[in-house]
Amino acid sequence: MSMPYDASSQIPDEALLVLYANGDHGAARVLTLRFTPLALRVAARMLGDAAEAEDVAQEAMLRLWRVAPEWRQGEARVSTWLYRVVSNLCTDRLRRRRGVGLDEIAEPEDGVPGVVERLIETDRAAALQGALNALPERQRQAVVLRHLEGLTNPEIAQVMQIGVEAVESLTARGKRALTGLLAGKREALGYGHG
Amino acid sequence: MDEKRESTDRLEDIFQQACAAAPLPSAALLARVMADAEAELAARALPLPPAAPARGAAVGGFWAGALALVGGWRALGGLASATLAGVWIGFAGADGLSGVAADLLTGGATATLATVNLLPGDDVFALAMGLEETQ
Repeated sequence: MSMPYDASSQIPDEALLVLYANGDHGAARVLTLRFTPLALRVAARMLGDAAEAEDVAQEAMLRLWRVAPEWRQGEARVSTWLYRVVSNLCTDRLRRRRGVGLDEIAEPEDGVPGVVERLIETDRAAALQGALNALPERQRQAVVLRHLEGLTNPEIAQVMQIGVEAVESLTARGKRALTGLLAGKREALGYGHG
Repeated sequence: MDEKRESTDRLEDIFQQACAAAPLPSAALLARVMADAEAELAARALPLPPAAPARGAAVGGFWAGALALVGGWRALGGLASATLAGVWIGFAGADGLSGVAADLLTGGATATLATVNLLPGDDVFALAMGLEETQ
């Protein structure tokens, strides 16, 4: 009953989800290959921990399998839904990790010195991840979705369930903060003689 | 101004490199995700468990059939009540009932039904008092 991968790889996400809900194992395979990377990327950027990111990606995909039979056609894109689930799972983990609510966390001033300097890694990817980790969750989420996932501001607004203006504000503040955090690493990042 | 522009460009540069070096799922993770998908499909495909047999059916086909024949437990209750009433009337005597039958036939049922005595002659009361005295 399963259709071959080559044939189903061009099928829209929602149609694949319907096929999966009807018992198509091939659709499950295509959805796994299509969406697990997305879930893992976002989780890794949000959490900065590979093992935790894998757990979140698996949990998010499990929720996708479970929601498939009740999926409402045309209500939301599968990717948007998955971005939201991954983001929420990451936020929950970050809350547990810190042991306090997000509202109780004071946002750091842009350009707090010394955060990135504490990192052992000196390569750019590690420096970026370290700087992302230092951002408040909402700013981090907006920056990851905008600049690393390439979503538009309206799409991010849907994922984060906030207004487009709020998204613009979060990404702008996040980028300013990142710039400040990375400024002290110019030499290590290979920009010392620019 | 140039410094700010330079910082922005540098950040964009880092973003692009990070996108290119995005983490990819391991084969083990993909296998776990697929296993979850298969498990969910299998769980949904499972037929409903058969209903447990009724306790009455386990007792025996004959009694279940007999019960069904008289119309179930409710009908059996009515049948038992009628049987007990018959036994009681047989024990207490049907003297009082002859008057009732006559009144029903002659049309004077209303007054007689209100005064019908199913314990004629207070015999049972006297019997009970007698038993108590002998103890």
